[in-house]
Amino acid sequence: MGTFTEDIEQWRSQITQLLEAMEEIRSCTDRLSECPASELGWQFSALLEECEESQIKVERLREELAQIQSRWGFGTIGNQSFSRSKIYPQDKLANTAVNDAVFQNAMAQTENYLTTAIASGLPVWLALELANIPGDSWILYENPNAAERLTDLTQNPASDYYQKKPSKQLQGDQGELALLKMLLDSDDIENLQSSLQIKPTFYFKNGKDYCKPDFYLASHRVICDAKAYKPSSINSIKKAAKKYANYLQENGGGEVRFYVPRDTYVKSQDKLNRLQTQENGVNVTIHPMTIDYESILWKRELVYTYLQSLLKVKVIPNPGYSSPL
Amino acid sequence: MSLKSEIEEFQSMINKIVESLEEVSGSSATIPETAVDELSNKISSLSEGCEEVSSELRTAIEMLEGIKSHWG
Repeated sequence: MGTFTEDIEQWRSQITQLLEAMEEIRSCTDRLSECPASELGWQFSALLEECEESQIKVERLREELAQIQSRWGFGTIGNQSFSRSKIYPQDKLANTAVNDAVFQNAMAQTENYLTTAIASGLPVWLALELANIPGDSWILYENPNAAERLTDLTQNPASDYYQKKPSKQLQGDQGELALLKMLLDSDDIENLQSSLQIKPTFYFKNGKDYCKPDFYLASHRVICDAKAYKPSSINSIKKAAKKYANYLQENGGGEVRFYVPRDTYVKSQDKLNRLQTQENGVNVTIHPMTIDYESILWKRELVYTYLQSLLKVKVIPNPGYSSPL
Repeated sequence: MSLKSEIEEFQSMINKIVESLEEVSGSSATIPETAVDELSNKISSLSEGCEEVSSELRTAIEMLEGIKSHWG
């Protein structure tokens, strides 16, 4: 971690970059009047994408300011003191069914980790994010029960199996993870865990085609699919929406819900309205995740770094998913 | 409204955004001279500046989407 001045200088360099990008947009805008009519559509699309990128950057700059504020003690978080809570592995936890010693040990270790990390100067938000990484990685890639594991990658993404880092897949995985956490945190869906299917394969009546949504809530006949898209990619939802809606139409109706990063949702209202449809008893709706696009990219890198670190310290007895790390 | 007027309106919004961003950048240059007990206010003011830029960008995006759907 650098000094306060270094943090500010880094932040200012990003403002300068954003300013340069906006100057470029201004130059392009000034040239619009000289542009042949046949090229206007393309120019508008390019400008739109650049403006959307700039808006994401400025939102990120705001978040970084808040982080600098908390890191250097003149915000609200930096002045709090964090003492260890009383979690002892040998005791029962009050008001919870988690009494197993293994769970309690794990929780106590997390507590130790957090206390040490914060005391050594890591900002609280970063310590919390890092504490979540092993659990997130397990849900995504390490759970030996394939029916509960989120990803359909068959190897550790950080292994030599992938000659090129599967960035898009890792990004999608982070979106799915965010959505799973949202679903499990939902108050309005009863008996969720018993009816939740992860990555089910649904065959169409012709017996050939199939679709594979991220989640299906059987009790509510709802397909939920995460799309970790930036605003300019949002139209790609259309194809998946049609397929899922067709499947549900063939099977007595239902609902399709897509979830996109929070900032993508805010910035794509017009496009989203056009993508939301209702056909033959199947509603297609789009909702915001609890996480932004940039955060998804950041978490993708964090979990990848974690998987790489596991490869360095663990021996692989047999290739394959039973012990991939 | 003609295409020309819509583009001019969009241009003036982009000019406004550049000006707002220059203000934020200029204000951030004085952080090293800011007294410690004023830093919190300074950062809050920069954050508000960024929020304003974000809101103006949102407006510009909506304007551009409108132009694109009418004329693109």
